[in-house]
Amino acid sequence: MIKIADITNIEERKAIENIIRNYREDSGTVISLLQDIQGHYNYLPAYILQLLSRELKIPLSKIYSVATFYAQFSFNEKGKHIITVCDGTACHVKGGPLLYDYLINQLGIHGGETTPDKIFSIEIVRCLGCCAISPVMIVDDELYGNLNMQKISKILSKIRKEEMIQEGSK
Amino acid sequence: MKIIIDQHELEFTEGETILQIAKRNEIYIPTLCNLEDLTPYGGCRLCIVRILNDRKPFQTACSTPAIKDMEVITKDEELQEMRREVLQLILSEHPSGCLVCAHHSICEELLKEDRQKSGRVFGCFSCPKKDICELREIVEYLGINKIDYEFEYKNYPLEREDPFFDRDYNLCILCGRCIRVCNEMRGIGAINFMYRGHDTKISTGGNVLHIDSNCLFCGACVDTCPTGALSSKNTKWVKTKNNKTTSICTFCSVDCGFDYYTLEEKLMESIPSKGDLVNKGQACVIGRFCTPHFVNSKSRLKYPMIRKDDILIPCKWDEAYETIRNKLSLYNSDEIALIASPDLTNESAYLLKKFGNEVLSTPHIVQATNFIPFFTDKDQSFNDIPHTQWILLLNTNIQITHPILLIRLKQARDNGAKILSLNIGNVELPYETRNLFDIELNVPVQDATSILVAMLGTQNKLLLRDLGLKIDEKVLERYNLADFVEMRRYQRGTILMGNYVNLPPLYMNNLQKLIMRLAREGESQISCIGLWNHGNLNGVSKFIPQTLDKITEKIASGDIKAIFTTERLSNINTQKTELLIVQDMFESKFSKNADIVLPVASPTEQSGHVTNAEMQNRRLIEVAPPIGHSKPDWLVLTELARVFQLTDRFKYINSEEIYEESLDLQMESTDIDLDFKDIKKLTLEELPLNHFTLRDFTYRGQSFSHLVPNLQFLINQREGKLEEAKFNQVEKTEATEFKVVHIEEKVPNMFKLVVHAPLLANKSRPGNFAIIMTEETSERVPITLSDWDSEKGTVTFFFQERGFSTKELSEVKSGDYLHSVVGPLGNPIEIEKNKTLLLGGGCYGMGALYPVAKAAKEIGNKVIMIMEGKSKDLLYLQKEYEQLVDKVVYITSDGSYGHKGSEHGKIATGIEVVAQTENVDVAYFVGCEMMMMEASQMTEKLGIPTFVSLNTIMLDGTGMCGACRLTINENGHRITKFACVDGPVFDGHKIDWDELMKRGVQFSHKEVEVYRANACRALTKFNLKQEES
Repeated sequence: MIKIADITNIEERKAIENIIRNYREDSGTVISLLQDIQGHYNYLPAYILQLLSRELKIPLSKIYSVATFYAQFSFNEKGKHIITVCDGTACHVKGGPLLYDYLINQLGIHGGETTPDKIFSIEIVRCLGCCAISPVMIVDDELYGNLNMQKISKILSKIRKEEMIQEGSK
Repeated sequence: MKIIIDQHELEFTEGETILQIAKRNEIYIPTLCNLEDLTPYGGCRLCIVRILNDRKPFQTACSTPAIKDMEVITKDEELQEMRREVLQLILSEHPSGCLVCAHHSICEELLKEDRQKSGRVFGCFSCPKKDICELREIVEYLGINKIDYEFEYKNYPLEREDPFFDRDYNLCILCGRCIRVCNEMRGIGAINFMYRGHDTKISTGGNVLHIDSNCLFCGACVDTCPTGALSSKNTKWVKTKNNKTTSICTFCSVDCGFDYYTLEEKLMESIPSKGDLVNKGQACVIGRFCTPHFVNSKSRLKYPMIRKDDILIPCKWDEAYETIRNKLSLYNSDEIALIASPDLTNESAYLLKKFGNEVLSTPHIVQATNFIPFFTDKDQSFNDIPHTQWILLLNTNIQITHPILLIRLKQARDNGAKILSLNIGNVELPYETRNLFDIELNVPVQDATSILVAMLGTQNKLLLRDLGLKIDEKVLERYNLADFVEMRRYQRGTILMGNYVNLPPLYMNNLQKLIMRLAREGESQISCIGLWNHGNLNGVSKFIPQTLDKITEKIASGDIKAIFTTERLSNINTQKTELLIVQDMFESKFSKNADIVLPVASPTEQSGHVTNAEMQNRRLIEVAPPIGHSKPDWLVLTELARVFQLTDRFKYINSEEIYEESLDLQMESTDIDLDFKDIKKLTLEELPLNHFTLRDFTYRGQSFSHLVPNLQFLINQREGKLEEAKFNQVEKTEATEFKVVHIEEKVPNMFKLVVHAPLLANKSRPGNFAIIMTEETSERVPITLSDWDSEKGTVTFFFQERGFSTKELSEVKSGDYLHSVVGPLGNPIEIEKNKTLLLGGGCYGMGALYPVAKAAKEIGNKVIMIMEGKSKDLLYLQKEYEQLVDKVVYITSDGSYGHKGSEHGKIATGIEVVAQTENVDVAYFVGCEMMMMEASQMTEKLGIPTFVSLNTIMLDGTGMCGACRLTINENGHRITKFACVDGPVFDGHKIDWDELMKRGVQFSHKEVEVYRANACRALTKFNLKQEES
């Protein structure tokens, strides 16, 4: 079983130590602990949950119980850019499902999945509360309304380009 | 204070809930989720009661505290209606055909002793909780006979890979009892609710197997489950509730109370007694699951044996006694040693001492450990542990040695106690229980002593000076113990000391003395409890305080020439010993070298007393008679003394007489002299540190893990040794012609198997069967042929998982090869033309009748089919039959599809329904014996000629072995027939059903043993080989 000392990435180790310290000081709820982990990793890695269970003396089953209860937590690794597609009533009527089909065809993954290059994840939600500009989706905390296929295509290619530039600069 | 429940005025104390008061006064309130000793939960809502003159009139009795002058009604029509609604909702996700089955009482009468062996549970006869079904109790109390909601089978996979217990969460009603007992009572938290709403399921963290989680396999969840969702492999398939004896488990020195269940004088199951004050209904893996395996092990010694011409030969007891007398009389009294096992009962230890003193007059009577236990004061109690403010665990690993005390530690911790675990040497405690400790230290020997002196000695500077010891303040700083020591100075505490790490005897004794002395002199109250790894060391050493190390050298040098031992001596050189008499339970390397071997009874096979770690004398009661010719130790010694002509002094008939006599002696030797002379030798530098693991958990030198494959599996997995074992598993490469084309579970437990067998496909006729062997070592299983395709060369079987061999068959995958498929066997059914046929099928019969229906239709008959099952989820092939035959009648126990079965049984209901409109010429039935019998009885009344296809136990299938024998009553004569060659189809009106049904279950108990012993066969073989070598 992994120990803190086994984490070789210094940044990662610091983040985990921070999370543990915060939890110890406030002895807060498991939810905020999980949110912190997800905040750092974008998802809940199993080995980190095991490590925290040991360090903080919380039964692993308790952690998983909370983590599986709330839809916000994910056990699968998330992509760098999370696309949240709305399938609420208004978006549904205005062609949301067609756009969703287009999107999954473009990326080759389904809702809840991540592209193999770990760049995109797709999530489906029921309503984002901005039905006036439906159909909508959120990419990286930015809202895009009155969508059509061209717009989606543009957004995707823009992100891909940025990624390529970043990759190139490395 | 008073409360009025159902017009009874009842006294209560503050804080009691309504349910507690009602229970105490024997007023019944139904509940499924409530657990005594745990916080109220209010999950099932069945304990809802009416509170008069309250703003909220309906509240749950389990979570509502009683208030002065409260008036409560526990039962009225409105309440019952609410409860009915709640229970129906619960039952809509629990297979409930059995609960509302009209046929239940007749069935119960007929199949009293039988419990179907099956994979998935789908009714009372395969349910492990059949004998005490809490759901049925409440269903009857509320008078539910039909469930209005549609039943939904969750179809979770069975979880059977873990050792000791199986899980079938399709039966789970999510009452949360297992979770609460695991989290709140045991403090382990291996399981919890996962997901939410309709998908809620109980599971370990990350949904791994229990063996990969922090589960300790204590069995608390199994014992608390109100349904059959959790079941012990020991008795999952066997009814044992009739023969119960309450005794104690003596394998560790807690001596928990257990209810032992026996079947045919053989121990089958051990369940912790709820009423016992020591363990309060809780147990550990050894006591709960391993005891039956251990005491019924194949390697038990069954006869006395004498060495003749270098071979141990079984003999009679008299001969063994004579030989012992003759041989012992050749030696001087100081050339003989008697060695007492620390697992003997007090009576046996006393007699051994008496035998040594009066018969042999030898000075060498020792107990087989190296230290004297005197740590525990009188009047200590485990029940005080939760009320102390601090606890020091010294050199212990109670998770292995005394797991039941973890509960007391958990309670103490909940009450705010601080717990310090101080271990000597670099030994790691299992991580499962480390959550309990506030401080966990591993220290070298010198530091351990310094810490103890600093902790306990601050009030006794004078005493320390007398002893030549000093307080080393730095040691507390170094280990960050200042706070703990400050606290312990004023508060009540407990020191639990053990022999987890095998310290030298001198050090052990000195450590005990030091702590006791310091603890007694201090101002604060400190209880000392010794937790030794031996079952009855406290009791045995009261009679025999001398330790083995006193005579080790004499044995090695040959000064002691004859040894009479009741314990295996693994670390002693006995090469120069001339006469070795061993009294043991099991065969072992040690007993193979003995000159005389005497078999003794297991702790469950004898009565007596043992002294536990609280210094209480606990009473042991004989649960089952001793196996083979073995006898309890005290009886062996009594009879042996009589051979030595000392009948007067050894007159005992039962152990009770010895106990009374032994009490006098016990009184004399209570005070063990505290000697502080050698206390200075405390600082020992380097020590051989062997620490105790679950592998070392022994009884009389026999390790449990060696005899209990499931335990070995657990240990190996936890120690990460499984990789090696996998390496040794045999890969199945040899292909036979019998390739599995397709296998699927059509409905729960019912598998469709398509096998490539061209020869068989060409020759099969309706009514034929084939015998399948999954592997070369498998049992031969006869299964009716359901379909065949001569072009593709495949045959189809429908089989039900009903026991070990069919479980094995159900686990094959498409593409695997079966070892053999032999057939077609049996006589085909001859069908006449132009008739009206009635077919009736249940379980596997629905599949088995398919070729009959097909053949009958081909020659132009009218065919009516009755399909019966507990619930609609158990019916299969409906479409196929509807297309094939003229009419299909469905019958279910719960009425979820077609007609609801009446109290005469489902099939009888079906026949009645058909007979109203049709004129049936001949009827065929295939299903379980019970169903075929009831069908035959019904058709006999109606005058319909009837044939049934029997599924008797079969070995060769060619008429040689006679296992499938049955009796036919023909014209007043009883004729013996063989189902394999004379059948399998017989006239249903002529069969002796009683005999048939009795013969059908005759080997079920044997098969239970096969099941529980087979955690994984390849692994078991591998492990046993390892252990032997």
